[in-house]
Amino acid sequence: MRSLTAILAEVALVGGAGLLVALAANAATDGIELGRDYFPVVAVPVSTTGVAAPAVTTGSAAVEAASTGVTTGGVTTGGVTTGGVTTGGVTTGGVTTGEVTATGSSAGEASATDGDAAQQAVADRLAAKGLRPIFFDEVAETFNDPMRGYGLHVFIDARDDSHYAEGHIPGALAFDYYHPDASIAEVTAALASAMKVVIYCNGGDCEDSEFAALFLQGHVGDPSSLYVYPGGITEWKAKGMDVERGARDSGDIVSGQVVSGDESR
Amino acid sequence: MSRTAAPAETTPPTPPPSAPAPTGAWSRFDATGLPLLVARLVVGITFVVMGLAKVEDPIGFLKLVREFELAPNLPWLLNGIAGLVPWLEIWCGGLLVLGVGVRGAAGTLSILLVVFTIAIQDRGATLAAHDGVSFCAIAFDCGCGGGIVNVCRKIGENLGLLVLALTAVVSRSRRFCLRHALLGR
Repeated sequence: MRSLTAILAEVALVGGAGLLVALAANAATDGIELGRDYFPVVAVPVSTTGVAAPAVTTGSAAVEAASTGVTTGGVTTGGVTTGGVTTGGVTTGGVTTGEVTATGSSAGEASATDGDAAQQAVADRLAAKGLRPIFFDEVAETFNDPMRGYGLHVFIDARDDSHYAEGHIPGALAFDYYHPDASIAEVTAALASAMKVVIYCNGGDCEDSEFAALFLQGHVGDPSSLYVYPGGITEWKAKGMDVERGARDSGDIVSGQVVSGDESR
Repeated sequence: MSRTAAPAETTPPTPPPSAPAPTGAWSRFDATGLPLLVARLVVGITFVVMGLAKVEDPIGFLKLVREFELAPNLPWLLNGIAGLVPWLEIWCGGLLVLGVGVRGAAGTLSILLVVFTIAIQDRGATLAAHDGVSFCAIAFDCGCGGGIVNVCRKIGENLGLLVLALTAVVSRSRRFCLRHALLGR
């Protein structure tokens, strides 16, 4: 008993000292902000946000995914997201099942109804957060609209700096939601004159664009001008659209090629 | 003044209470210091490496911890786990490698291993039930620092590390420990 007491005392001493070291190290390395709510839970009644009510209101996929702690990413290129576990491609959330071996070809056989249902599930989930989804066709239309050149249509990349540099939608602003101080001034200035803002991240089960949109709602005059592009950069590239590498307006454009299957980044 | 300790001058010195004379096979093996050395190095290096992988991308680790739904409504607890546990792992792992505060560091890591293993088992069971596959068919990034890993393999690794960590806790050897090399017993 005496030995056990001594062991517990040593554990308390070493563990306590370790926590103090951890607090200091976390602060010194610009780690996690301990007091910040990084993942705010938002449940906004649809009628108060101006978000159009979804045509299909079951939302079962989103509810089911939420219950498992894995968020459905909705539309993935060349594949179907099933219950938060992406099959037939590289998963962005790192969830795979050994026995589920859906391939790009089998995913390609998914009916249009499945795709519509997936889009609808995403729309439901975003609407529940007071956000508006925008899907590829409209994103491409917005991108090609001359108003983008006048700063009236703005694209925001909600991924971190390294992924942004690897390739982003040409002209998109970088906004890392988890480190907003670095770019919030530039983004806020751009939002001041924007009529339409498209926010995206990787696609799949990536939620960074949603949290960024919620964060930026307080920095834009008309929150209804904010749109979340669930397909993200993954779908953008898979659809053969150009991407820009390096800094914004670097001119380092990589011409898009339509690819089969899915890529996470 | 009579001293009862006088006979001790003519008898061999008795070992200190913390290091009784080895009797059984395990005690003799433990007295060589090898079990403790192996346990310290394996557990210590593992946790230092895993901890460094986590602190390299704290936000990524935060997102992975969130998926466990350990504290969905307590952001400070979630942040505390993501922000402090990796450094605690590095601290304890480093102490183990050096051989300072061995029992305390190994005990702390044992507690962490038990909590981690329960959380991984729970998460794996949730995913298996959701996807309708067997438990051991599940592979996911548990946030342990090693990327995507099979859940059964990960639990096995954790149990192995737990056995080694507990070996360090109960070992009575002090050989190859920096503290005792510098300060003696």
